[in-house]
Amino acid sequence: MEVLVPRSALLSNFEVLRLLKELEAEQLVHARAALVKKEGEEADPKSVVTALGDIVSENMRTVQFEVIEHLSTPPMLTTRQDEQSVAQLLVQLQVYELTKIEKLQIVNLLPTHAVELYVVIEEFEERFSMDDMEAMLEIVRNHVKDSPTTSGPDDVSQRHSGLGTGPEPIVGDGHGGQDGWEAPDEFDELMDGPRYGEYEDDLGEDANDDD
Amino acid sequence: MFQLAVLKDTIPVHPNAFGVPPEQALLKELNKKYANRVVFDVGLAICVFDLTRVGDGVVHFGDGCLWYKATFRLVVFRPFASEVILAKVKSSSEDGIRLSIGFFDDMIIPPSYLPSPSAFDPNEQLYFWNPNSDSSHLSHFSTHRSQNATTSRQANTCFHDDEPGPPMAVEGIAVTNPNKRPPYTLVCSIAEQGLGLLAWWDSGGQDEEEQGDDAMQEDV
Repeated sequence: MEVLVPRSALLSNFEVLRLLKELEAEQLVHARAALVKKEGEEADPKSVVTALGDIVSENMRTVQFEVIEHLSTPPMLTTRQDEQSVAQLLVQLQVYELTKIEKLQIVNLLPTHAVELYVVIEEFEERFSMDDMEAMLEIVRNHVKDSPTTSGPDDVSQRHSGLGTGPEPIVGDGHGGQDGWEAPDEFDELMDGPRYGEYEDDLGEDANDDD
Repeated sequence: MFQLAVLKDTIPVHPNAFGVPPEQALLKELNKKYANRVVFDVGLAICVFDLTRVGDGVVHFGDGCLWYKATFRLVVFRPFASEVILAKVKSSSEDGIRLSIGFFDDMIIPPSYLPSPSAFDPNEQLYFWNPNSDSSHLSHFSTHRSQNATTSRQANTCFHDDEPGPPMAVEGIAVTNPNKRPPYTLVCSIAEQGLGLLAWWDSGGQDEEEQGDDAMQEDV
């Protein structure tokens, strides 16, 4: 085993949640298909669960379940986001000079109070004014939906064939060779930090992971 | 909280999986190998994101498995330095407060990273923070409250690679190493304004916001 790039891109919680939910849906489809093949008819939920256990390893199921649960329970607001809201949030925050990790934390934590914003953005008073702060909070508030979006995939059957090719991460470019969802071109301009591979240089002062 | 890491590995696919498309079999094997395990210096692996490049399957002498050299991307949990994380308080002891986020439990706040006037109450085994000079307003880091979610800033990452070593026997009885360290620990701080229990900073929490003098600034 070799680690080629320990940190090639950052992922937002929303992307991870969506990825895991899609994985889960695909696993269920496989489990049901395997059952039908074995028993020749649709089976009850209990045997689907057992079939699932044969297909997916225990560790995988555990971590999948735990992560989905953590990201879905309040006060985490990840379920209240969808693709468009995250994209638009980033577009509207472009006006302000925020570093990559500040933008990522805003997308993850969705601060709605001044204190929360101060914690995320370093040296706030020197860089922004009170009006900017109000404007930023307003932008964030506008992009949080009131109720959880059902982030189930609409096109499970379509993804069935493209198994394993996930969507490109929003917060960083990925390599080519993907059949799946391509990030719209605006994303390249959005994260005006460095891209894939050039990551280390532009993280802001605090984010040097020199352990 | 999550990152992508690019890894390369050689994975065997057992003959009973030859009927399924190789990508599917490979993904299953990769997830089986990496999910929920700590990769040293990289983070806690969650799942495989995608396969970047896979070589042809090669059969080695001695077993019938097809060995694939695969380059793939892995979703790992690894908060970057000074990231703010939302977690629940799991337990408190004299050594500090332990936080949990469901899939990861080894986040510690040592006493030095607690907001300034705080103390440990041995009777209740809880920490409390006294933001005002009088003792009438105490906020406990309680594990029993339903709303005990806390934001904390990640200060340090510690990876330990403890090999179990050969089994040792003392007087014929196998001895297991009693000091098992978790392979991946996070040290966090809540010593800033805006960090700590969410209830402290909700729009009703005006008292805490006035205590600017007491809050320590951590430089991490």
